[in-house]
Amino acid sequence: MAYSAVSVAQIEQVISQLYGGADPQFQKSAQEYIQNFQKQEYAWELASQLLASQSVNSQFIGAHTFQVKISRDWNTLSLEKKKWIRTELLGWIVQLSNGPNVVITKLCLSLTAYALQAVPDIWSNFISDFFETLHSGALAASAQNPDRPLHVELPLLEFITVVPEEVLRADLIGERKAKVNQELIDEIPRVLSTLKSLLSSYQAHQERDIQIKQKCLRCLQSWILYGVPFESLYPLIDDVINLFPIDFTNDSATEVLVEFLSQPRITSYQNTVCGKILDCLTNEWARTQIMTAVNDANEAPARNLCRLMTTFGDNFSNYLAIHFLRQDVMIYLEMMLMFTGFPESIADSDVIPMNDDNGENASITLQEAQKIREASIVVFRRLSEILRSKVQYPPDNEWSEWLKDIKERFKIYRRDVGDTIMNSYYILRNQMLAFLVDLAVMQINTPGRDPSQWQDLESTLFCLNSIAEAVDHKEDIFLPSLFGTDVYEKLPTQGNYRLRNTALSLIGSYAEWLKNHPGHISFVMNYIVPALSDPETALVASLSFKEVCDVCRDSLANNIDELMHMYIVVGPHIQPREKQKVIESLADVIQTLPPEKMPVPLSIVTDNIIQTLRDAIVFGKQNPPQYKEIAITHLEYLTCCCRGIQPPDDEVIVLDENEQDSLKNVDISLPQTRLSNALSEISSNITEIWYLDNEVIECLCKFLNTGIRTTANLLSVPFDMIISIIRISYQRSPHSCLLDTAAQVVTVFGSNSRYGNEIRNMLGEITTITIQQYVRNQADMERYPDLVNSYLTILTKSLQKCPMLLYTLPSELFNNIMKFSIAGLGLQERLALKSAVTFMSEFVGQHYEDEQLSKGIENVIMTYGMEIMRELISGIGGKLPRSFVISLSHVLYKMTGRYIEASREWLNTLLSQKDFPSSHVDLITKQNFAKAILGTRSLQRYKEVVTEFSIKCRDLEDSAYGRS
Amino acid sequence: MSGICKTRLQEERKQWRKDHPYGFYAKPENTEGGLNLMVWNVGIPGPKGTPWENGMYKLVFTFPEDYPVKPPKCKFVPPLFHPNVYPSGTVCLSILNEDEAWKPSIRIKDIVIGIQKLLNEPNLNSPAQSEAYMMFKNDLVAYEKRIKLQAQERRAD
Repeated sequence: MAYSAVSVAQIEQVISQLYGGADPQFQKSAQEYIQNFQKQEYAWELASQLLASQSVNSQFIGAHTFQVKISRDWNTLSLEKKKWIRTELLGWIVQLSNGPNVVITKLCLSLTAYALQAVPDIWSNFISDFFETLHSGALAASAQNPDRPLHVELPLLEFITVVPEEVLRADLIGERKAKVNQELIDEIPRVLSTLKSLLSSYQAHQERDIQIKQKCLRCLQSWILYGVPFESLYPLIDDVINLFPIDFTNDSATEVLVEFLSQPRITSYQNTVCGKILDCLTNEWARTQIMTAVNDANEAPARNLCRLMTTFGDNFSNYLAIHFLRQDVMIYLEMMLMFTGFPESIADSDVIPMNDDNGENASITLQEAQKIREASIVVFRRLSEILRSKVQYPPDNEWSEWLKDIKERFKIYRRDVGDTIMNSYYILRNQMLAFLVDLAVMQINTPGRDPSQWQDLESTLFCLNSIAEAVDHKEDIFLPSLFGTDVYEKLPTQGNYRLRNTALSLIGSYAEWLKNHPGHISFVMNYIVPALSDPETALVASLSFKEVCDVCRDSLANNIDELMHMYIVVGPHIQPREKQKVIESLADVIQTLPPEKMPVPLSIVTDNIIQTLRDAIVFGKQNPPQYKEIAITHLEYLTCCCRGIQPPDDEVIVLDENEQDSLKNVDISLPQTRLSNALSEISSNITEIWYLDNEVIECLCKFLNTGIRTTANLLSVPFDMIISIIRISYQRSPHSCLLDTAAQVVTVFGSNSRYGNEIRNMLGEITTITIQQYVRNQADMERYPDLVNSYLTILTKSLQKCPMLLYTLPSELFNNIMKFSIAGLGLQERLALKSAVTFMSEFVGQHYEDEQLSKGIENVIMTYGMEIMRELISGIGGKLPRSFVISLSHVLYKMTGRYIEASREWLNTLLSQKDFPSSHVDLITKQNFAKAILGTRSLQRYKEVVTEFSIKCRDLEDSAYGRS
Repeated sequence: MSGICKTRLQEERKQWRKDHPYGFYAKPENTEGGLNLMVWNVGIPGPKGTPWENGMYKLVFTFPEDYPVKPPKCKFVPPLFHPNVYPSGTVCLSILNEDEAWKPSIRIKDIVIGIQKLLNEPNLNSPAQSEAYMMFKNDLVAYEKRIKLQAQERRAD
């Protein structure tokens, strides 16, 4: 929209509509009008005229216009204009000193925006100038009009408050940053002495006094955050403390004191500062505050006090520990405990000092330490009691009325309290265990207990759960009573699901303790197992079941019959998600049995799964979709079983020539052969039926992968079978998971020559199918990034494990592999591209002692090097996303490092082509780039050079984005 | 543990205790010898109003000796179904990569908020696992269903 100059009256009319109108549409258009107006050159003059208006709204828009235009139009202004702006702004600040705050604040923000642009060329000492201008303005005004003096304190404070904040926010760089900061540092004494004198004196007018004190505190906070040295702040602390108990300044003084106490340098002043603060926190006023809050059950008025006390405890727990017996410290702790009792307060343990190391502290005697210990135990014992009551759920009818977010807050709060409880445990140790276990016993054995009441016992068990990781596993005074007839036997087995879940979770947390007290295992198992089939408790029960089976497997293995019997009873009623965990846990226990004892319990778990899968196969042949879910669920069970039966320390280790081939030595018994045959038959049938269904094939592959180990486990499908499944299925349908299984085969068996032929044939076949059938060109590569990714992963694994197998592929196939991977370097699809870069990095970086092999690779590089180089440079030069530049530079680094002469030639040829890799770099830049990368062996430097070149090629040199 | 690293981690702990995003937790690992500042256990709640809601996603942050020059390694335990999480559980995020956007000024609070944001806003420009990435690209309905299932398995209480 074109604007002709408008009069100030017109603008004022729009402003009055903006603030006065009730019609939002109208306000919106008024706002747009003003925004447009602020873009115009003549807005400078009109801004001053608006400031002269009687209307506060107009004055505000006038000040705002300055701010907007300074930020936006600075670079288009003449020196003269810039100086004019400063005079205008300073003039208006003086003139409007007694005026409304909003306008002053806006003017100060405008002036700060101005100062940050004008340093250092136009206005270097902007803070001192500001002070002087205001003072001389005030003097002149009172000389002219002694009855109406100007109160310049507020604008002064406003400006020195916003300056440090804006400086921190502004992201300044270079010389300007240094100069601006220098000005702030130089002015610290003046600013702080101004604050000191304003804070310590009373202004004649009460309202103004409050206003100025509040402003001073805000300003002080702003300078603390900016980073004033602690030494300079220290003289102001008394003034701030004095303002803390005053209603009007309580909020802002709290903010300052919290910042103040969090200063790292404060420790050097610890004794003096702590004395002062403790005095302030425990004086008559503070005690009245907290008593009122407790009596009225409303912590809101004491919230600042609470916050300050917490911050204090957080930063000076050591000090408190040393002076534990002092009167003021005891009062402080007493008050902290009262706060902890508030329903909403954030209990925080570290606040209350830990005095474990007191004995080592040279400043106190052992006798004193003992006294402190005794006193602190009293405090912590009370703390535990309070905390226990605080994590207790409210009665059911009250809970159901709580809003969702309040319920959630309660749960989060419980978790935080859990930490506090554990920290207290470190002090109380057995005293806490005694307290909690006795409490639990008492709660559950209370005569005439209301069976629907669960909350109290739940909270006690919750506390016991919180300290589990700290409790000694050999403890045998209190816990036997908990995990025995006193408590667990009497726990409800129905309803009360929160209590039951906490009780179940507690068992899992004490699995290590149970391992040391095997007599209790079967007892707690009897509690867990029925809970597995109850939907309300199944998840927690299955997690604890897993934990106990994992940790206590040796004891459980001794009673395997009992465990299997439980499974036979409850197994059919467990839902799939939990059943997976249960099956894995059982297999975990079975795995510890001697080989001859494994088949019977294992078949209890697997027979049913195998039979169900066989049925699914029979019926699935007619109707694959209908039996798909059953197949998936039971394949998942097999995977879990296979994972569990794996000895815990057996990682995927790779066999090589020198290692004994354990596969050959496995003593294959009859039941084992039967199991293995069944699994082979099932796997092969499943691929026959569901070969088109990615979900089923994925589950099958996960099962196969779990068993691909150097030491075959009882559920491993034989090598030949796996290879055959991969080859046949991949031919039929392009599932990337089959290739992932192939990669797993290469990883485990690749370096063992016994499997060499089969693996080579598999590689050849997969390559042919991939390149000829599914991924014939770059468009296919973009369409099937998962195939490209998985296929290139096989190749990368082959380079690592069995490079010879790749190099002995028919030469046509090998050449296709090279072309395929080079084409991958030019893709935009990130998954495919990433795998291509990874493969190429592995390929270029190959190094072998074997001379013949090295020579062979060198030949390949000489054939394809130029093409690889072209893709790398082209990608760096802008063809590929910027996030890939670093990984490309790693490949290039290996390339130029290993094949320096050839690289020099390739670079020379490529970079001499016009506009390659980009029209934004000239020949000299390109030559310098080549010289720089060929001349450095520091990877860090190399990456910098490549990144710099990439930025130039992308023409992002002058943008912050380019450097980000 | 280097002096700088230790001081910074103590400071991080202090800052976290002073102020941290609602519903998150982060605390150094508890060992028999006391707190181990180099390894933190972290919990990130699923963002509200997304399929991740109600889940609590647990991670382990491992700080290198030269932290904060180098970023911590952040790993979901157990690994997470998410396009930007490696099969090992390690998070792929530019602010956690020293070659990309890591800066020593990035606080633990920034990291956890960054990871929480990543949950429902995966970055398809840096896939870290094929399974979640492909499903997100090809079948958003199935993807969301899977995320909800995962949230349920890792529900907060």
